Amino acid sequence: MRNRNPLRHSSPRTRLQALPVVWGLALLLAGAEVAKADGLDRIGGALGDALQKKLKTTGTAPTATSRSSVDAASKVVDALAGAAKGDSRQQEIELGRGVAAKMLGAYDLVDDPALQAYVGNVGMIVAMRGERPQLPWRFALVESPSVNAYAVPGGVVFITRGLYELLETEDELAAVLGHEVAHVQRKHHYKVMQQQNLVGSLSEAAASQVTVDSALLDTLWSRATEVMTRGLDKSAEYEADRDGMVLAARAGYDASALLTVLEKISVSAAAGSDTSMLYSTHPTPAARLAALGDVITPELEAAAGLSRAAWRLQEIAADNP
Amino acid sequence: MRCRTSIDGRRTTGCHILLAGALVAVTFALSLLGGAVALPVTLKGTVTKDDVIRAEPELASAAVGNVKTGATVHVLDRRGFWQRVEGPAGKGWLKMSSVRLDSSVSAGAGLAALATGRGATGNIVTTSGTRGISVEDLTDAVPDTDELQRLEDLSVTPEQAQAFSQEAGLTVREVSYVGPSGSGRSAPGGKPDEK
Repeated sequence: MRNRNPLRHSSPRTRLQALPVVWGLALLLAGAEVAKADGLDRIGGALGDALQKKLKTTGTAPTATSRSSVDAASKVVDALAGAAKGDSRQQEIELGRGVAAKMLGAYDLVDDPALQAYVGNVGMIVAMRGERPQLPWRFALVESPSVNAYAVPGGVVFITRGLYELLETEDELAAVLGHEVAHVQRKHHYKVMQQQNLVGSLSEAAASQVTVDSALLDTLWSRATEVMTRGLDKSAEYEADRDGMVLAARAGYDASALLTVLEKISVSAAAGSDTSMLYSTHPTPAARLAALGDVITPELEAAAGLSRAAWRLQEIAADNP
Repeated sequence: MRCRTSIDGRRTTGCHILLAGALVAVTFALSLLGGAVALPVTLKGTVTKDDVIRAEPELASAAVGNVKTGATVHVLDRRGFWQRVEGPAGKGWLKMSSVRLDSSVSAGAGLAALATGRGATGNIVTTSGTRGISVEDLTDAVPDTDELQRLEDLSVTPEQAQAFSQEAGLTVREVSYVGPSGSGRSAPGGKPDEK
């Protein structure tokens, strides 16, 4: 199970085309009412099916992504000047859900409801101590031996099984999730997507699906997802470390747990675990450890030490062999 | 996982996990009594930053010596952000952020447990040599809306999380943001956009 390659490329192409359409409609519908939407469940169903049928009849064959098509796509989209602004918070959520769907085309969710509920609970405990407690947060464990975690705009956080299995305590899980919550809170990836003009482009293109080549949407979604795999400024990672450490400490967890996680990642990398993407997108664990050491306050020091929930992680592991 | 004993009296592997858990619990209980976590073996580390060794594991404690970048120290204990070390300047408490553990001691099974001295989980696996998802896998992936719906279904309400927090006796604390962008600011990312 652990070494299973979760790649799946066999889904019908219509799915690929339907999602942006659904997303675009969500934006068109965006208003105070839609601000309460909790993902796709409100806008799927018959509407999505009808759109899929429409796409089958008018659909254009997706083409390979190339630099020129990206440029052409950008120009087309740029030409569609800024309507469909809508609710920016809702836009962030919908964009993130689209990126999450694409990531879930490569990653499988770990098929263990009890473990997923555990990760979700710890994530929410930490997220509630932050500045955006009302986002539709989702915390999920994904199948991959790689050591990594992702913070998708709008409140989707993925942690790989490879990273989860390095953790020994709930404090360490809270530290990892705190770092990701901090990224979402600071809108680190979302701001990069905005700078690359992907946010407006996607809303425009998705809204204009019937007249715009669907290859354009493929390209835009790929670019948005690529942001998740490219490094942020190092300063953003250090910031997420500091904020995440504070959020976990506020929730009652060991303020020093992020340091032991970083140490473990370092040791695990030396032992041959796949940390390639994590290392290409983050400063080294040693640099992050050193940076954290510089900002320890008496308040954080007082919050250091295993929490009363620390060993719950191992009880869950024992219950779910 | 139930601890079963087979006819010939040999325990199942699941039982070993339980036993490991019990050992962890005992270690944890002892650590509460002692305040510090005794490491199962002595670890060697390299100092990554010139720093001060203190008498106690707190910032306010008196300095008892200095360590230089590149020096080798033996790590004896750990408490919060601090490690008790023995180095050229004697024994004392050094910030764990100023030491890089020698990775050669930690290769093999239980490496992560050694890294913290908090005991093995029984669920650590070696992932050496296996590769995960690549950048191309992600950017070329076909969006999976079924899996996205499963993700949405994993939602946890604030009330559930609150109950889960209380169940374990977690207590909310006041802690200010730290660092260049955090100090003096209560709301990273600008004003909260929530109601």
